[in-house]
Amino acid sequence: MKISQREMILGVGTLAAVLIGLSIYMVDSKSDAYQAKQTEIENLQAQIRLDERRIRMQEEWIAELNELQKDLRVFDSKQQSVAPELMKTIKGISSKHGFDITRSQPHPEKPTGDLVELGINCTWVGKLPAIVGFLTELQQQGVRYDVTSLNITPAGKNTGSLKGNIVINCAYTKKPNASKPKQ
Amino acid sequence: MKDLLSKIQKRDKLITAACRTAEGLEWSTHTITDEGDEPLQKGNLPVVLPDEIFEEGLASIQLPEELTEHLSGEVTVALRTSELLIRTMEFPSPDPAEIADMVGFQIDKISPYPLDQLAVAHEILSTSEDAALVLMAAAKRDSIDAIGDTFEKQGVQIHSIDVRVLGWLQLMGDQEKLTATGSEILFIVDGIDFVLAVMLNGSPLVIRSLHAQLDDMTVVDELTEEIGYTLTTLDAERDFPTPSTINFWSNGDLPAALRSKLSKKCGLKVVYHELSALPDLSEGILRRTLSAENRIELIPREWVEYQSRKKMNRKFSIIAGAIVSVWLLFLLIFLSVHKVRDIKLNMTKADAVEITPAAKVAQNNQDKLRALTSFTDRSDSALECLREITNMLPAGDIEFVSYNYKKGKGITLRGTANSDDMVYDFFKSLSSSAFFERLKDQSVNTKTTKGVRRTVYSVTLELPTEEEGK
Repeated sequence: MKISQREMILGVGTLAAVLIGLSIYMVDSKSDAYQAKQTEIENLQAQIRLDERRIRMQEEWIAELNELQKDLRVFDSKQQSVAPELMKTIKGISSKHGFDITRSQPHPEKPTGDLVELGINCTWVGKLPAIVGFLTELQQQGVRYDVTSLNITPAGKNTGSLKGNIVINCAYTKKPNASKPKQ
Repeated sequence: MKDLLSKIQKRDKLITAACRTAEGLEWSTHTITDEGDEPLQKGNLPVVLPDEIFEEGLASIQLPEELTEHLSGEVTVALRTSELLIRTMEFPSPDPAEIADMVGFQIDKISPYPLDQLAVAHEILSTSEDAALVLMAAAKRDSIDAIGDTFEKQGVQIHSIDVRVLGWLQLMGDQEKLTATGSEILFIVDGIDFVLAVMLNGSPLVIRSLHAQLDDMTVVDELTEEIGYTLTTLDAERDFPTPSTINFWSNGDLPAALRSKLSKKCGLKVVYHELSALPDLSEGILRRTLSAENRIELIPREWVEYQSRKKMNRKFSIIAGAIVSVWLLFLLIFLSVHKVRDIKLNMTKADAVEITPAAKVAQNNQDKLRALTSFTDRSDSALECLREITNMLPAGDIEFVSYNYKKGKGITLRGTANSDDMVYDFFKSLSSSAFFERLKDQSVNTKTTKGVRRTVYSVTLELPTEEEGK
């Protein structure tokens, strides 16, 4: 078969065009995946850096955590519910200051490892000194209690009495075979 | 040697001339560079001849198998004079195109074979204002094709076909052995050809192949007769000066008796020359190939076209191969880059998986610490905020109706006062407190209830967020 120079140039040109087209198609079709992989690598590396930093700082945290946790009440992990005990304790503190808790409702437990947070929503009635005294004592208990929400409204006209809601977050730890918690 | 040749071929052009010798086949190769040409190699090989017929031409011999190794580049071969029809003729035009047109016609007139069975070529020996002296040659296509086949069998492509005797004349001219002015008679006996050439001013006017043997004293009569006939013919055609010398070129010694007898019978001086004093004939052919663009070229046009097409095919194959190679290289790099990224991703994933358990423990501890820290941070506790707001309360008739505290978010206050100014002073005090990030949704209205005019206010105090606090 005789092929002229023009046909050969056309053939080579077509070959080059086809290969260039194929290359463009390949690069185009793979570029998104390539970019996605790069992003995934960057995200993973950032996560690894963060994890490494966390691990490096862990010793410092553990020391601080141990210091804070030593004041927490410890309950047995098998104990069904610790809410009654906590509500009783809070009721005791409030009674000391004439701060009348008329209704208590515990929220679900929020565990973080062996550390558990439990919110108790209390409806109360009392005078301003009673609430200040109650809040002061809760604050003095350290890491055990934290007031996350407080609502105060007057209980009646010119009576000087107040009422409202308070959400007290209680922190404690749960450990297997824990002895009876100290008050 | 093959490696050397292949290396040279990559950069330079090689030209080889090959021709028969009495013993076999000889060749010379030159390499052509930008600076010029220089000899690369020369050599010879014995060839197999049936029945020891040494005069056999290139078409009849069996070429050695290793010939391909030696005949490199573009190969020129030379035909025996006896295989050719050679004439020198004066044309009435110096125009090369017109001469080319006329050559075929002239050959057709003198050839016993039809023109379509011949390979025809010519060489312009000299030109004047209105004429040109042209050497014409014709060979049977069968002979040319047979030579082509002989070389093709050994994988050698012939690029050019010249004439042996013209190679000898080239060498003689180069060594100034030809009479530059005047006429002379040459006999060239090289074991393959027995040629009579009549020269005028260094150009061949007549070249004739003779079938004679020097070992027979009767050859003198034959030579004398040929010389007489040739000179008579030339005298009839043109004003031809009578030569004074016969130059006899041969490889073997010319017997003194034969020499004196020839001289005596012709009445001309006979001078004997050794052909071995000249370079190899293949060198002469090669020089013609290199120097003379206008020379006898008996190679058929279709051979040239075939070789040109083959060259073109090879060129385009190389280009196509190069394009495909570049593309494959690109593909390789492209896939490698992707593969490297995949590997890097897998390695990073493995690192992440490896660190995850320890990181989870650390994360857990961090979360616990964060939770407990928020318990210990009393800076914006409900008590402290209540105390701060109470302290900011201006003296006078202003009271709260509602106090809503959300840890980490803020406090919403609603209340009443007996004047707007008192409320504005209260807001101003609150905004200057370091406890609160900003005041928003401030609202101050005046309401009259049962004839008592009171200012009703509300405000939201934003506490610093956890990040801002840190």
